[in-house]
Amino acid sequence: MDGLDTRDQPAVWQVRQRVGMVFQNPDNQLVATVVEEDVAFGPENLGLPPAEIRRRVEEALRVVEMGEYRHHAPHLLSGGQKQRVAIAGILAMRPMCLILDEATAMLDPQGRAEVLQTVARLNREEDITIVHITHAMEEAALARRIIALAAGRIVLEGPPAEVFEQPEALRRLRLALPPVAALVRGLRAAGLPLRGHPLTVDQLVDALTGLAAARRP
Amino acid sequence: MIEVRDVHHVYLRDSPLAAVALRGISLTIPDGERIGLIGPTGSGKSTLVQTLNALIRPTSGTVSVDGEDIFAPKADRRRVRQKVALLFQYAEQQLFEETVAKDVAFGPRNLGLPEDEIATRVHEALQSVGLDPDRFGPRSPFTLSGGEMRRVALAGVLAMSPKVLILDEPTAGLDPQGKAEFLQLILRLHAQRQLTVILINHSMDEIAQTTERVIVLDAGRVVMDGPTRQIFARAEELEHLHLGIPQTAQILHRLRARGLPVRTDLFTLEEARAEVLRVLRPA
Amino acid sequence: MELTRYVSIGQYLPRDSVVHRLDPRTKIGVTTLLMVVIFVITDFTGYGLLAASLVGLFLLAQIPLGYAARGLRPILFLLLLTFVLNLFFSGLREGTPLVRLGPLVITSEALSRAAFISLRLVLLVVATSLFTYTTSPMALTDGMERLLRPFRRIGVPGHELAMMMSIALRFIPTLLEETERIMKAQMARGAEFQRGNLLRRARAMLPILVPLFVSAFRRADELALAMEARAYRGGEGRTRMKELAFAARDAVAWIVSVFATAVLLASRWLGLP
Repeated sequence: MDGLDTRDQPAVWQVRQRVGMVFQNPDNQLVATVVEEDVAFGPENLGLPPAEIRRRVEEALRVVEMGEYRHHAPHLLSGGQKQRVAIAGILAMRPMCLILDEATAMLDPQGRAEVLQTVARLNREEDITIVHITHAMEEAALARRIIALAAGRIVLEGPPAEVFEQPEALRRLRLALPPVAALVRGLRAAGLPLRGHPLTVDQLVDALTGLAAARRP
Repeated sequence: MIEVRDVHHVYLRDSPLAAVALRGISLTIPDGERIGLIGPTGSGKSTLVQTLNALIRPTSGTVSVDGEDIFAPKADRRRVRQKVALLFQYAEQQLFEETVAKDVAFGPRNLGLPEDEIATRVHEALQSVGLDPDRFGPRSPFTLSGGEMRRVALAGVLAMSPKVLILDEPTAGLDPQGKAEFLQLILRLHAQRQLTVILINHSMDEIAQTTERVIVLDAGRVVMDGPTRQIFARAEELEHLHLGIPQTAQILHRLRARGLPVRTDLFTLEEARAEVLRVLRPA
Repeated sequence: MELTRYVSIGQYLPRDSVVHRLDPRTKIGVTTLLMVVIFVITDFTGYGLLAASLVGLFLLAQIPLGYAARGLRPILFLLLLTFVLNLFFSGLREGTPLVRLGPLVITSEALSRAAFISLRLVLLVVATSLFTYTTSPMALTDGMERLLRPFRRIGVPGHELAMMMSIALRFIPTLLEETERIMKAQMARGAEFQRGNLLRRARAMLPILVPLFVSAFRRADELALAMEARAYRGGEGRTRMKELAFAARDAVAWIVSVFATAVLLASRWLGLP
């Protein structure tokens, strides 16, 4: 990890600062009874001076857009809000990489959208590597690279467009094509000359309207 | 048949923390229907289904099952709960017995059935959720996988021999294949046992695949109620409630908005594919 | 399920007052001194003065006086019992008899003693409730942790105790919510919890307790993992965002209360009026 050996005991604490994890159950990862105290937990463990912790907490809450909830009790927040607080708790440790371990699995669609938008922005604006572990194929479609594991081995790896070319392999992994990719596949099979690799609803709609426009006299 | 008449519910009534959950719900649910109950978080879905089997007594209004008012002074709540079964979210967390068979027997035993009848029901219930009674019956529920535990919980509810099966987010947390299998199981149970099915679900794709009627709740009121196909054709209203529609339906709606003459009341993958091809078929 | 959202822990009343802003250690210290004072004072004049200063403190803390009375509600029975017992059985039978009820005699000395002891109880409860109204559970935990820090060397795990307390506070609402959900799930399977004798009712709790324990252990496991992932390794080398720091107001509070207590003790022992 960034030149550090994770088996090396003294290096473990540096590794944990650089790689943050957000887990599945939003209730089981918040420690404090007040949002801002929870975000401060990580930096406090790093032994930072109070003024620096305060600065990082404010910034992290601002980035996940939870600033106005800083004095709230976590159990009164929605699932998506709790996960954003958990993300802020990681951000305050200034990590290079954020691992979401099925962090959207227990959320409603709105909560999912909140979390996905937040991590997409972190990736784009703060240059943080995102590893998103998920069963939801339409979420996997948003990644730059997909890695599929089975029985402790990497069985598929590549950009979504390539991985989705192998629906049989996915089915063996108990996974399905996301709806957009499945539709693209069905349309191509019927002879529709779709160009590129549409992965999202918007991309596919663009491709199809492009096709229709080209048809028109 | 379940009839809900002008049901209101307020949590912590007469306290400064009072919270209104239901504001005048009226519904008729005929036997054997497959209903999807959707709405944003906090819209009152969970409260509503809990009034249907007398777990919550509404502040006002009536609920009757097969013509009997379930909140009448003499009403037998156990019989209501036997008829109208409710599988809670993450139901595997309610398992507590030493063996799968004993856990499934909990409901029938509470109904005071004779032992041989209990044994038959446990056997049938496990079979109908696709778990071999001889293999799984004697095992501890805590040694099973999450998906298997959820099936055991469903068997525990089916062993009550209900007429109505209410499921609150039954596929949450399962992998895609597990979700598909669970939905197939629900459809099979509906057909085999002539069950009325009420499905609360956040995934519009799953609602589209399993139900024939959709009821939309918002802020404690019924805001839409109709055949699934017609409800999903009202994309804008659903998106306004942050509910979204199946991705395939979204594609058709956007295409139509861009001037392509596609129908928008379709949502399965096959329908969407055929419709796009109909309009864009290579000449 | 929504019900438990409104359960509040403790009786903290958030206000922006100078009493609320005092360092929790100051409040723990001053409350302790108040206890001492309450036991040292032996006359009504003293209690009158003390009651007046408590009223002053409530006003300063912006806590309506009704809340002081509310704190007494749970001990109402105890209060009545104390009063009655002291009235009839304090052994002060010699003195001016006021009322005679068969073998029971109420003397004016007994009446005054019963009133005094009851007043002591009232003052004790009101003084501690001022503390709980103005100190959040979290501030209390922090104060405890700091006060116990010097005893670390003799093996008092101050940090661990405080961490346990704060995690407990965090999870009480979550577990209440879960209890309600599991209870309803079992009721949906025909369980009844309010029927039968005590043994039957205790047995009926098993379907709730087993799932609750299983889930509590799972939560503990996941929380421990999440805490370690955020580089937690005990109190060693850990700093705090809100370090407790004494301010001028704390100095004032300490000086006033220590001085008042000292004067009182001195006057007691020197036999001054």
